[in-house]
Amino acid sequence: MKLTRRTLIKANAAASAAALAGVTLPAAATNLIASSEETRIKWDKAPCRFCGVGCSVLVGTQDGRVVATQGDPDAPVNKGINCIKGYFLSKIMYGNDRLTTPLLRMRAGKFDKDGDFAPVSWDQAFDIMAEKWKSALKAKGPTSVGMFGSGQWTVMEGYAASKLMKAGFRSNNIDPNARHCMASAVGGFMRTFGIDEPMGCYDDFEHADAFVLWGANMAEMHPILWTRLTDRRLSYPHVRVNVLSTFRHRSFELSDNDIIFTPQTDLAIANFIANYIIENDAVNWEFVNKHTNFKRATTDIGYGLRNEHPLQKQAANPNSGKMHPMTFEEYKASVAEYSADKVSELSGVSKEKLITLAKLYADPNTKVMSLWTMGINQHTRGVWMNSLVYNIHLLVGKISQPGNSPFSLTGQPSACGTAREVGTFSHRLPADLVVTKKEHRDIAEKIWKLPEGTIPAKPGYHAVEQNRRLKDGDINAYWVMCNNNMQAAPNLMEEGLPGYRNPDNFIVCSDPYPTVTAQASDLILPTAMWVEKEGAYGNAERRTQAWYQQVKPVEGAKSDLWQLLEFSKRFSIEDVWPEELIKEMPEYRGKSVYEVLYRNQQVDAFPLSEVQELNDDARDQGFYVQKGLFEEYAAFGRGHGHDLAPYDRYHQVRGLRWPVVDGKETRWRFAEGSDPYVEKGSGFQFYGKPDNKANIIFAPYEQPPESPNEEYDLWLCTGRVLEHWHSGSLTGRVPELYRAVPDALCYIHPEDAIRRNLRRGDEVLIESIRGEVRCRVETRGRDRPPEGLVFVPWFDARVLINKVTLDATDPLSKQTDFKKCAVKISKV
Amino acid sequence: MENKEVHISSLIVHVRPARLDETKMQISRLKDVEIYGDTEEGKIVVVLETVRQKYITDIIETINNLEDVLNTSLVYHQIEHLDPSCEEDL
Amino acid sequence: MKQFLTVLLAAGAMLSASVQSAEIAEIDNVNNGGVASLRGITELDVTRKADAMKRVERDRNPIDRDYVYQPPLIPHQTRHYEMSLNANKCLSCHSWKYAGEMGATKISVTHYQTREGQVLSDVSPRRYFCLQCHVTQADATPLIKNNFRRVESLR
Repeated sequence: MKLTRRTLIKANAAASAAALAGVTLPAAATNLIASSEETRIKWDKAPCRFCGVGCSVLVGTQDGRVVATQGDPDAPVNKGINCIKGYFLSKIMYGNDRLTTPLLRMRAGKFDKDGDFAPVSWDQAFDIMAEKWKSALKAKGPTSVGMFGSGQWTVMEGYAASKLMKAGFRSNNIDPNARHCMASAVGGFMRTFGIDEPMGCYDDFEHADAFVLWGANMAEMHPILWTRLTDRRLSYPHVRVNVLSTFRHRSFELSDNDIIFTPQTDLAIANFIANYIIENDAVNWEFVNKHTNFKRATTDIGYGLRNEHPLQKQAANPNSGKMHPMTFEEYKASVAEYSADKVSELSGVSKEKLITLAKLYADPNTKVMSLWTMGINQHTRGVWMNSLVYNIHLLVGKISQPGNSPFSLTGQPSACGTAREVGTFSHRLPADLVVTKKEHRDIAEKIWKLPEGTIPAKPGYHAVEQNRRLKDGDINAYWVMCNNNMQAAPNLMEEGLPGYRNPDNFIVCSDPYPTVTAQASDLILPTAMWVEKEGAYGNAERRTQAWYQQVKPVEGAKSDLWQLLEFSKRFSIEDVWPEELIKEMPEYRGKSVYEVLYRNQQVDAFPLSEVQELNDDARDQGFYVQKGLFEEYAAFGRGHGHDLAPYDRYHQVRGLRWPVVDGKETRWRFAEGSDPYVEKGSGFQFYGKPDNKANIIFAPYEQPPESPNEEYDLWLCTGRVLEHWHSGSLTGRVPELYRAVPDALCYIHPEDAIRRNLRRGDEVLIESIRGEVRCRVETRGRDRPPEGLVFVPWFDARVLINKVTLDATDPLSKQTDFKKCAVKISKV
Repeated sequence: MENKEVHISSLIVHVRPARLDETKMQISRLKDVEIYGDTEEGKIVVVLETVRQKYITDIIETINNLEDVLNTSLVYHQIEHLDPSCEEDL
Repeated sequence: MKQFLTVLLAAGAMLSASVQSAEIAEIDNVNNGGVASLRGITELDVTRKADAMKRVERDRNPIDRDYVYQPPLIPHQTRHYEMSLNANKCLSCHSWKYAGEMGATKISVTHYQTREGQVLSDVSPRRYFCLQCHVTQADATPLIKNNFRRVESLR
């Protein structure tokens, strides 16, 4: 039949509505839509590949390719809209340089660290990998192998990886890039509540009377949540938006109270608010007495630098997370020194603005939502700072109720689902368990059907430490998956690059595209991504979302899951476990690591008959591997406050927020009536702690490790932009996104520019004591730093701003502080 | 200049399942409206072709005001500049 | 308080004094093995010269779209557009009211819907910040070609 553009558009209109409504269009309508198969678009849901908001998108496929994407109108998170990155998801898989074959550095037909990359087969790739892993294990034991993963791994991939490292290789040297992103948030949750992740949810946006952005630029980094916040602010004139930052950015467009503070003084501002609440008799005594304890943090804890660093040696209590009980009176005395006068002078914020902010928290009739991400987390006192915000909410009892919500946002699609809940950190196991506790290891070993003592008790090396240990030659076989850490990690020139190029080390990089990390590695593995595989992600409001594979991967590429499982087949249990351990379970003798870990009648419990037609990972293994991994993993949390629904259910709904008990999701944890774990009559129960009470933890202002001085006279803050995600390895390959923001610019105050004889667009050299980069200056762009501070985004591989940044971390969470170091700038 | 704008949009109309047939009938009588399909649970897929944007909201309002309609959601909207005299074949 | 700042400055000075003399680390075996990234083939330890500043064309024709749900790109500059609680420069041309006389693309009617699906008589507040979905395009040649293919019928 004759098809016009008009009928085609109408057909599309009908098809997308039909897909949403679950309507099967009758044959007559289908015929109208298209005269043949070729013009029909198949629509299916998937979570967005980018940030931690967790928007759902509808993916349109045709002839095995993604041809369109749109916001999912049925998804409670985003209700039909996406940000500019989400709208261009359809193009992220089609960059011309997708990797299609493993590449190994070779010379004269053999691996050579100084050779050029040449194509090899998957077999050859795994051969050399296995050889390098085995020789490292033999020479130096399990701590000589390592893996750097990601909050972009699917839940199942992260779980399979963690199991392979912790139980297979018996090495805790696995850490996700989420370490750079929200380890401090985890630290804050564990110290204050004893259980990870937000108590509230996104529904809070529609209930709050005031929003406080603590160092977060949500307009660019969490755009869809920003639409919900904007909706609330513009629809209800009484709502107030407070934006705290070290420089002006797009979120200030909606701000009622602009607060630009001197870097690091957020610690003082938070303590001032607590002080204000106490001084003005606004403490919610009923709540405080019933549900909280007061604690004091150990102070002077260093900056997570190398032990021999002078600042580290100077610290009285390096890395100490010890807390000491204190009374309310002692707490009151501790915050008393944070007066409006003193904090105003320290932070550079006017007293009026500070008091306006404090009043919102103190007013019992104003529901307040606090929001933060990297500003607080990427902070050498990030764990403290997280708790300082909780302190404010706990003092006034504004927590776990609609609109009263301290809310820690995330930056990756499965930072919560994979990195945190699965526990791919060097110290963690699934469902908030930790390797340091014998009873926790026992639980994991029991679920995994492994002998007691399989999992090592000592935490492995965290992200920044891994790069140091590579440089020092302590880790020799290293696998980077699903992230671009050479570009992302701090102090590239002194730590990252020397580590990867250390001749003693063999570095493997799995990625869909040749990244900066790939350029520094020894073996590159072409990787399938997003809807080229089936998976599940968990977003920042505890919402787990699953998707089906929708297209075949680019020819030659394989999923991270496939790579992990196939690699595990290369090891016999005798290769990785000592005889004492094998003796405990002699039935494992002679078996491969793959058989012990993944053919255990749990992971392989679900047959191919349950699998969708398109599911390469399952068909390659011969069983429904994603479901098996998910269900085994879910056993950790069910009945323990982390309950997940049966796997299949996630394919029917637009995600569910855990704990999911009796088929029902939980919106506000710790609150009676909403959280099934809270006992009747208790009101609130912070059941992560044995006495059901949350901690109000005092911690003081302490200075940052590095501040501008006479020579290096500017603060440098790094971060993201709306149009690019993370290192730009996906968004930089979408022409529209590239053209929207083609280059990383150095945003600088016009006065600072004049002082250096700079005009907009001039090329500058940015130097710290660690490294230097060149880029162009912008004096009137979307970011407006105050004098004395510059902002440079890190997405640009041509700039690599992390050559300049400092590898100081929070000493407790080990999360890097990418927001503060000292640089100088000169015209080129 | 003659207005060649064509607005194509689609809606999901959620109606009381018991009154599905009657409501479909009422909707199908409206101008510029076509029904493409429905479900037993009372969801109807409706496609509109109008010459003005405002007409879309008018139609939505009309549909919303039908007695047994619970909710109407707009799924899709595209503006086309078509010249009917030389509409291309695909 | 003064003391506070002095300590802070002293620590900064000390830190840089202790390492300032150290040259920026040199790594002698950096080699990308012939693989190019978005950085191209410039070695990772090289301080790469900045690319030229790109500019956005003042005004051009609407930019063609590749699929039906793609938000229209902005075919003009937006510098100095006021966007605040009080003003939205984009809407002064693109709203239904003005689009006709300004010759601007009208906002899609989807933008008149609330989160709950209710249709309003004006742009929904959740769509207020246009630049979250619509972006300008600089005169830059993409670093990498993209092989996305339109559906046959839109080619």
